[in-house]
Amino acid sequence: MDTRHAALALGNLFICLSVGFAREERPAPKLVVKREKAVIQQTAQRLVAESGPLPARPGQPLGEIGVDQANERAGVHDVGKADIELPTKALLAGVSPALPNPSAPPPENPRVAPGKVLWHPDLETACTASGKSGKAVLHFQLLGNLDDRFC
Amino acid sequence: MFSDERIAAWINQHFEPAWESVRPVPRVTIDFGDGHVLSRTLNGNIATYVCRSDGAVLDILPGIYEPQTYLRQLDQLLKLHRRVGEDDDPAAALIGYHQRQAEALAGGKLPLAIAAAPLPITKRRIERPLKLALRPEEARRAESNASERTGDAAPRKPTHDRQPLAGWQLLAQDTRINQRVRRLAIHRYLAQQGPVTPADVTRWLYREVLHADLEDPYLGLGKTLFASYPFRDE
Repeated sequence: MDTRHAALALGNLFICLSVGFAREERPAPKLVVKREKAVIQQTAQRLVAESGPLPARPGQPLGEIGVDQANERAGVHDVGKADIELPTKALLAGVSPALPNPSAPPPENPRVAPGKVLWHPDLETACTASGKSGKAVLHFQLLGNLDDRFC
Repeated sequence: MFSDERIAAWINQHFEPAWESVRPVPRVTIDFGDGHVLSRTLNGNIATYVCRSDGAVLDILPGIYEPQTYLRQLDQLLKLHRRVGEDDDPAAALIGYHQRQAEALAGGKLPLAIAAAPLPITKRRIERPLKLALRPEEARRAESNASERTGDAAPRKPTHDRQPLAGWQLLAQDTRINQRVRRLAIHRYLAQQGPVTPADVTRWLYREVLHADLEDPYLGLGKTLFASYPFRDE
């Protein structure tokens, strides 16, 4: 498949998805959708950069070319469309995308186990337990959270 | 340190532990572009309180310690917990303890060891996990002997054995400052205040001892951060 046509198809797909989100009244998962948009945009930009811009038909701006039209011109007829849309569809369906997203940034501060100590949920609970067990209370204070990777 | 099985087991055996975040930790993020981002915490600090069941603070270990010193100090505070609990006037006993410790540290001595209260016959059994945690080489030997008997694989080396030496030197230095300087300030304060809860002392501790003012949005780093910044007045 010509990469220029693929780039245009991806760009239009992005526009269609944006319009689709705007029309639907359900709350969109903004952060994740942003990431998906970014992926599509980055892929389209990369393909354009590799092969140069696709010339529009005379008198027709690029933005007016629809996905089907672009595919028709590229002679691809939806080949790969399902693959491209799968992550977004999966997101809208509330399940994790089956395809890995290599460009997605890792969580900023992932949750980890707070060590192997059996922590009470708070000082008050620890004091209550201490009253029963006779053990001293160990109260550990920190900036950040003990169950954050960076703390 | 809390991920070390031996240390965690010892803490679980002798304490009722709880942790609390006093505020979010400052983080420095450098975006190098092209998806390369470096993120580190800045000016993070910790404090360990040992308290009675009514929440009264017995003593505080400020900052980060070497694991062995940390456990030794916790063991000392267990003895203090026992001693104060047996005293007819726990508040007075506690103030006396802080006064004696402050005098010793001000005189250039190490913190005074707390004499062990009479222990039951199971003392050796109770203390063994601590001794093993404090002396990993002994623990390794014991595990090695056990594995020779059982045919198990050799035990895994403790994680800290693989840490760079420079990091441990800095930690040792910080431990010394915690023990000699920061704890002196704490003993003096607690001797004056009498029984307090962690909530009573937290802000003072972080501002005066750990130099991380919780009420300052820049945690006391503002002068350093903005001193040479040309647009600070904009």
